[in-house]
Order: sequence, then structure tokens, then C-alpha cells
Amino acid sequence: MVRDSIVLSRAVAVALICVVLPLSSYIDGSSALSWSMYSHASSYRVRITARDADGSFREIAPTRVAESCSEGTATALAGADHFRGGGSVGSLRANLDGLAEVVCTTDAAAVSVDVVLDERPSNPSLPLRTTSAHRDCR
Amino acid sequence: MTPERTLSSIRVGLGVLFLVRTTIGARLVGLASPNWLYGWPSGGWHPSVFGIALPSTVMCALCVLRTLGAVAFVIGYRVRLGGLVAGLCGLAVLTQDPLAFFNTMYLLHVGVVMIALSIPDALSPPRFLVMSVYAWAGIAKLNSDWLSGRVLFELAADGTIRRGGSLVGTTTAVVAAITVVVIELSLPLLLLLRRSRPIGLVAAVAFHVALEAFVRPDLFGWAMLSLLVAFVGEQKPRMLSR
Repeated sequence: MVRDSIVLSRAVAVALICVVLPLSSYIDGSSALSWSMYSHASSYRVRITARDADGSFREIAPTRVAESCSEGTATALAGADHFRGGGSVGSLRANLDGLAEVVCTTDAAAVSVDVVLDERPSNPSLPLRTTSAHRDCR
Repeated sequence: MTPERTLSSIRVGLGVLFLVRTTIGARLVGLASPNWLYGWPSGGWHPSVFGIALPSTVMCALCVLRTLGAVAFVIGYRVRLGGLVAGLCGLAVLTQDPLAFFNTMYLLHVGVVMIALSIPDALSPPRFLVMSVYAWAGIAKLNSDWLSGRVLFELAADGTIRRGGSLVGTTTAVVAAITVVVIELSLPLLLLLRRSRPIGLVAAVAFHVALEAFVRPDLFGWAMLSLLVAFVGEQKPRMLSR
């Protein structure tokens, strides 16, 4: 009985790790779990704009915001005011609102914050993929 | 090499790499390691997979359990339990900062899980893992960016590829790109068939030695070399046997 469960768990693990997860990751476009290292040379940049109480706008460097982020996220944000290479930023794309909230909490003068993520495919003939988030700070 | 010794060799090799990469030991091999244990909560903001952010205390517990599991796995004490605890706790930690995700870390974790589920008479889990890594890596490169040599050219330009000056010529980059795809797509078949396995092993080792010389992709090559030991020696021809 115990051996049967071990054989079954082994088969499930092999199917999951070798086929199901890479295939689903490949299909959803993130390719994070499909061993796609070095297969593309896409790049991204992050633009952060804060609006102050007097209505003026300020650009905020992602590197500055990185100081309030975890190690991995800080690494992804460092230097991202210009296009830079790196791994999949799908999780950042899905959480831009959270990043805008971080800017709100660390920048006392900001009334609202806009965060824009531009993803540039390695093929220059393809268009930029732009995702944005807006957050009111007060 | 006996099947028992083969499995032990992979376990110790991969386990040591796992411990080095997930602890401050990474600094010993010149890799960045901000904390004593990888993934130890630093308090900063980060996105998380599925939006599930684990509390700091849970993260700390996972990091400690992962390390204890890995130590047990390496020294051979309750190998299956230790490997599963190390691999699964570690994967849970990785979900907490997906922007820090990189393939070496993922390979080490799923590799430890695969070895924990293996027995000497059936080394199919690590074998399937190795073959799937090559196959998926080859499939991912079947795109115009890679096949045109553009990716290699850009990797050489930004310094990712060391001594990449020879890739400046477009023809060289195209030939190199196509060669890599052919190798990655051929290796699973060469390793699968018993008759061609020795050729596959030699080709795979040469491939990783070349990658180390030109790219040095963290500990990825070392992890793959550890797993390739599963193809050394003869095992019973049962795919997922007991």
C-alpha cells in the first residue's frame, strides 16, 4: 500500500514537473517554468509618476522605490527607468497596483501615483506591451 | 557503478549544491546571498504568486525547515522525508518573490524532489527531469528571435556571454543559435536510447562545459551535471517501477 502510494506520487511528480507545469507555463506565455532561459532578449522599463497637492507631476526613479522592496523585487526595479533585460516580469505586471501603493506610503507628498510597465519584445518590429496602474494616495 | 551508488552520488551532489545555493554558502562560490538563508523575509514589498503573501513567521519557518530537510537529505538520514521537506518548503519560499525567480533555483528544488522520490532500481524521475529540461529549452528557442541570432548577439553585446566578440558577425550568431537548438533537442533522444546514451552523456557534459565557459549560468550547469549521473550505469528497464 505504502509502496503503491510512492509509485503513484513518483508518477504524478514526473508528469507535473516534466510536462504539466512547463506546458501550462509555455501556453500562458510567462514561460517561467518551461526552461526558456536565454531564449528571448526582451526588455522592460518602469515609469513612475507622482502627482503632488499643487497639481504638479514628478518622475520617481524605480531604483528609489526599490529601497522599499524585497531583494528580488529591488533587483528587478534597479535601473528599470531605462529598458533593461531580465526574467519574466509577469508577476510585476499583475501587481502594479501594489507597487503604486508602495510609492504612496513612501512618498508623503504624493496625492496620486501612476505606474507604467513597458515591455519591449526582442523583435523590434513588434509593438511595446504597456500596462499601467493608478492609485490615489489619500 | 551500482544503482545504489548512482543514486547516492546524485543525492549528495545535488543536495550540497542545494544547501550552498539556499544559504550564505553561496558566497563561497562567488554568488550573491543577502541573508543567511535564501528567502528570509526582509520586510520589503514584493509581488507573490496568486497574490498569497505568507506571514514573516511562516517564511522563517519554511526557510529553517528547508535547510534542515536539505541537511538530512545530504547526510542520508530519512532521505525521502528530508528531500520532500527541503524541496516543497523551498518551492513555497520561491513563490513569495517571483521577480527573484531563476531557473537554477527551480532546478535545484525540483531536482531534490525527484531524487527524494527515486529508488536505486528506478532512476526515471531524474532522467525524465533532465530530458525534459533539454527538450523544453530547445522548444523555447524555436522562435525567430533566437534562430535569427538576434538573442545571442544581444547577450554578447550586454556582456552576458563572455568572450562573445565572435558573435558580432551575424552568420556566426545564426550558426551558434541553430547548433544550440539542435543539441538541446537531440539530447533527450540520445539519452533515452540505451545504445546512444554514451554519446548523449558526452555531448551533454561538453555542452555544459561550453556553457560554463561562455555564460556561467549560476549553478545550473553543476546541477545538470549532478542529475546526468542518473544516466551512468545500467538500471532495470522499468520506467516508473517500484
